[in-house]
Amino acid sequence: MKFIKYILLVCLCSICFACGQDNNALTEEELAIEAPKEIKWEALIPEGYHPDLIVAKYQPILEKFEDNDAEAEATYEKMMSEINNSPLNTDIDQQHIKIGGFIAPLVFLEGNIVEFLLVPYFGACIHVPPPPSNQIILVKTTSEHAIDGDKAYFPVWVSGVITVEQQTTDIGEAGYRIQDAVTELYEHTIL
Amino acid sequence: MILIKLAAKSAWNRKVSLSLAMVSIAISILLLLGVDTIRKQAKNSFINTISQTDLIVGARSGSVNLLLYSVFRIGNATNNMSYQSYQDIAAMPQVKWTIPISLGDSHRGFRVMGTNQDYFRYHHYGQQQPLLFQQGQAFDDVYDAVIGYEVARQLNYQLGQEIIIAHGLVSTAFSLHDDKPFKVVGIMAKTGTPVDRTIHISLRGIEAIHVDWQTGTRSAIAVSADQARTMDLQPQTITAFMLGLERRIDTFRLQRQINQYRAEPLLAILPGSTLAELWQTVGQFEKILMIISSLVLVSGLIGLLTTLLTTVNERRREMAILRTVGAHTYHIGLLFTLEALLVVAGGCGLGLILFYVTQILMQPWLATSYGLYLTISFLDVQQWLILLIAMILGVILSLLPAWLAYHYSLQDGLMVKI
Amino acid sequence: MTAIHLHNVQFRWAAQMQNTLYIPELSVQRGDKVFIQGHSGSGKTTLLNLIAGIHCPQQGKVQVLDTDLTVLSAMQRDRFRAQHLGIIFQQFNLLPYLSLLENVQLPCQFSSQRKAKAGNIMQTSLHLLDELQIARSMLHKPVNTLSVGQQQRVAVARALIGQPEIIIADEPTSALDTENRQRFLDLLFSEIEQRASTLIFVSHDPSLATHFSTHIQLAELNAITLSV
Repeated sequence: MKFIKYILLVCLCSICFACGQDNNALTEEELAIEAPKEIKWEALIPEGYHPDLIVAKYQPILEKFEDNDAEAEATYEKMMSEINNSPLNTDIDQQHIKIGGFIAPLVFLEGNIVEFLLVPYFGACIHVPPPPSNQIILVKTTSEHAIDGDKAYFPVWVSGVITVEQQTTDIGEAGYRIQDAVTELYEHTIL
Repeated sequence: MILIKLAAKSAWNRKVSLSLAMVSIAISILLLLGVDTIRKQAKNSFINTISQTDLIVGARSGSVNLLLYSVFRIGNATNNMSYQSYQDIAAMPQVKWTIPISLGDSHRGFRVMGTNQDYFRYHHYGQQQPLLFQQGQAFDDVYDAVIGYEVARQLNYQLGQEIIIAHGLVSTAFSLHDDKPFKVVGIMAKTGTPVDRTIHISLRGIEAIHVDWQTGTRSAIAVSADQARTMDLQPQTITAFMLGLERRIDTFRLQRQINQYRAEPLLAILPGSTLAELWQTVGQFEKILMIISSLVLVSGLIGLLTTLLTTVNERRREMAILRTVGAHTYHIGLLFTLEALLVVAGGCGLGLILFYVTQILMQPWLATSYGLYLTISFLDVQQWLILLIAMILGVILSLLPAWLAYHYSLQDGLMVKI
Repeated sequence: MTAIHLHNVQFRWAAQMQNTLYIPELSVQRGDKVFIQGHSGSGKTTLLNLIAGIHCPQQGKVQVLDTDLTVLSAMQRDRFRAQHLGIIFQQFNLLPYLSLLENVQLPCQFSSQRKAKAGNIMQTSLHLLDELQIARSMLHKPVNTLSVGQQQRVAVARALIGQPEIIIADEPTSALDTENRQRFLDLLFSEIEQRASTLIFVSHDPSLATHFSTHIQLAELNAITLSV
């Protein structure tokens, strides 16, 4: 009887151990450090900047053209360039923030994603233009918070200090960046 | 402990029937470990093949298809893209560097890829590792070739080796570009990626060998190698190209621009995203394989259970003997559990042996046919867990005959009424 | 000195309402050789199970070698049996997957005291087998190649190793032919005398009773049959 009890105890421990193999939840100590401020994607757009105004500006010009007109194409491209070169919000530079989004993996390490682009929505929805440069964050995770390659399509919470780079320099590219990010899969968070 | 010795000897006594159960368990362990290993290794192998590439562009097909043929040399492009489009896109201000590639020919089973010297400069793999030469250097002359590590090793090529390129993927006497031999001027260091299995020539070289194949087959009017050299060998088409951006936040914008390119239908993919997409699909398939393998394990265990159950009745006299010499009733039950555990452990051990032998046998074939470089290593935590769970299941299933034996021996005591 | 003493023992199977065995009194002295005669169904198996501590009576006292078995737990009774009893069945006494020697040495694996009493186990078991006329050449043969007579004699060796005080034999000669039967009994008695063990011999065959000092009819012993 004792022997059987011992074997059952070993089984139970192994099952618990297997379930515990989940690295992505935030640890106690991480939560204890000054909590990041949760922001929405709108916060990345500077105050007073309204991309819809640019569209409104070009709308009457575009309406005049036929579809497939080469000049219409060029005008459209010009409008999109302007929208895309949208300014960055320097107010949030160096802030410790938390933001949720979807990932486009860039660098893998041992099957986990350590570097990715974070965007507001999933998939290349082709009915609207792709996210402009002020709605994309280049994220590098800490080694404990690399995202499992199998979970690339899940939404994630990314926390860390966001830096705003106006120009591409030797050190880094232009745009929003979060280094040493802490990540958490969305499914673990209560909505 | 006496019980273990008794269980072992008793099991050995019935080794014929028990060994069948053991073999079926071994096969299921081989399947479970095999599927798990292939999945993990394939994933790593694929992920390590390309690095630091922001977009891959080709004629419009499917994103996974483009990734597979351009990076892994698996499958084929349905269409080429124009060199003009390539040049126009390469000239865009967001683009930092490009590598054009041209596929379709082969040499003795290895793929021939046309490219330019930017390939050796900008192509990275694994952890941002660049391509290195073991011997020689990149191509310069039209008929220069640079071969990968595996090509050199398997075909025993040295620098200066003359090679004939075949049209298409299979070499046959009537499809060779034998009037235009190439010379090996460089051998690359091992990368553990499909680069090792590739023969690299310049884009001009590709044009040269096809100069008299414009009708789809060799033309009656032959153009000699030297003649071709003097011609304008500017490529008209390429199969695909890789590109790196100045700023990665431009990725999506440029991808959309290329996908909506007016001049011809093109497709631009993010290698990382497409790889993740590939793994989604493969992942489903792999789950199914694991489920099937688990069912094989369960059926092996049930076979063992059947063997044990049918013998419970026969062994009641044995159990009475053990009771007379002082065995406790739970000892009797425990004997059955120990026997089951021995058989399952034996099955796991045999399965492990089969697993490693299979890996050793399959390693060369997987490398040459699929570019999958299998590293044979010890089991990881998850795989040990698979073995542990198999043994726990065996113990749990054995509890039924064990309990029955215990129950009978309680009843029977010294005399078995058979 | 009393080897076995049963007093007011009543036993019934769990499922049944009526007693199958009621023994008001049974006393066996040390060194006695007792012949219990009874046919199958008369409760002889139950009696042996009680003496061996396999089962416990619902009422009464079963005292073996000054130990009251009824107050011991099942596991304690198992250990007691391993230490103090040697048991021989009618047939199929040996485990087919152990060798001859391993079969003989089996009781020593379940009781350390018995093992200690056996001394050098290998020598003791070889000596016993010699005495019981099992040829050395047979030692390495598988158990099922032995004749019934040989198997029974090996069973005796197993029962005797480590000198348990009480030997119980349940129809040990019923499967033997006349010639082997005599040989068996002679050897058994010789060994018992050497060790001054107590012998309980159960059989349905009254002709064997002549060898024994005490002769008990189970039908008389079991008060259930008397009252019927």
